[in-house]
Amino acid sequence: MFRDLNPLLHSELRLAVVSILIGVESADFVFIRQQTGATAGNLSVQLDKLAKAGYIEVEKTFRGKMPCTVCRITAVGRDAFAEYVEALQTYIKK
Amino acid sequence: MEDRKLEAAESLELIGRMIENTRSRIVRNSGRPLLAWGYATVLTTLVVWGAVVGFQDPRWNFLWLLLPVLGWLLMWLMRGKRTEGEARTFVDRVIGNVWFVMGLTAMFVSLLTLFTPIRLPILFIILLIMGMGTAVTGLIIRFTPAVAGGTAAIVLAPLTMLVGNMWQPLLFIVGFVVMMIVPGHILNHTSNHPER
Repeated sequence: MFRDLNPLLHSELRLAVVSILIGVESADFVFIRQQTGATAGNLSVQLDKLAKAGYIEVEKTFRGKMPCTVCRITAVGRDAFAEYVEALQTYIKK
Repeated sequence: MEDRKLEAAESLELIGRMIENTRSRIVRNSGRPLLAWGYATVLTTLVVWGAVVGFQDPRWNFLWLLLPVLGWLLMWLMRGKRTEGEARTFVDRVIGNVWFVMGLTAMFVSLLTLFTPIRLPILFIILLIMGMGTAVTGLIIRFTPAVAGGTAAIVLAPLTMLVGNMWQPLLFIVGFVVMMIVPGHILNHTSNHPER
């Protein structure tokens, strides 16, 4: 039986963001944008959705005089990602 | 990349690609900290050595206090442009903490020697501590020149106890060239000219 895929993660950009953050302790906005190739506007919207769901933490800070947005995955986000990968496996096994 | 739904196979491929890209990312000029602290130490040693020998006054040893100032100044001058994004991994945190402990220990024993009557073989101790730090860092990031350089410094350290006072700074300088300056340049070259 196919398991339902978490709709929040089953989107190209949001899944890419969570996949990046799962492997690091933190990453800034510029790094995520470079890795995903997304536009700044679209990335901001998707980060906001993930933050509202409690999957990531977003910290607005400064590096020198430049504003800097740092993202980290939360425990809720890790659990959701693990469940998503488990659900994906039910599709692949069929 | 857009906000579009994916097939299951596409999702798995995307997850694998993002994790691999992040894991294998190459940070440009990775050897900067080794070079900044290596050159700062060599320069400070030459200045202290020259002053103590030239003026025949051990109070010139207080010039060692220039070392942290010079090290941080070089780190600041060699800092990268802020156009590249930054990700911090568990390995970054481990290496940062290793050097935090090594640096504080080195500073503690140096201040003890400078400001108390306790006499310690300071160049031996510092070479040993920094050699350990460099070798540990090399093992963590799997960078053989740092492992070899750190090990060479650990082996050189006891030799500073065997040679006369006059030659101790020279061995100290050789130790820092071998463990920090040479691996730092190799690391910079490797990170700035990736094979793929």
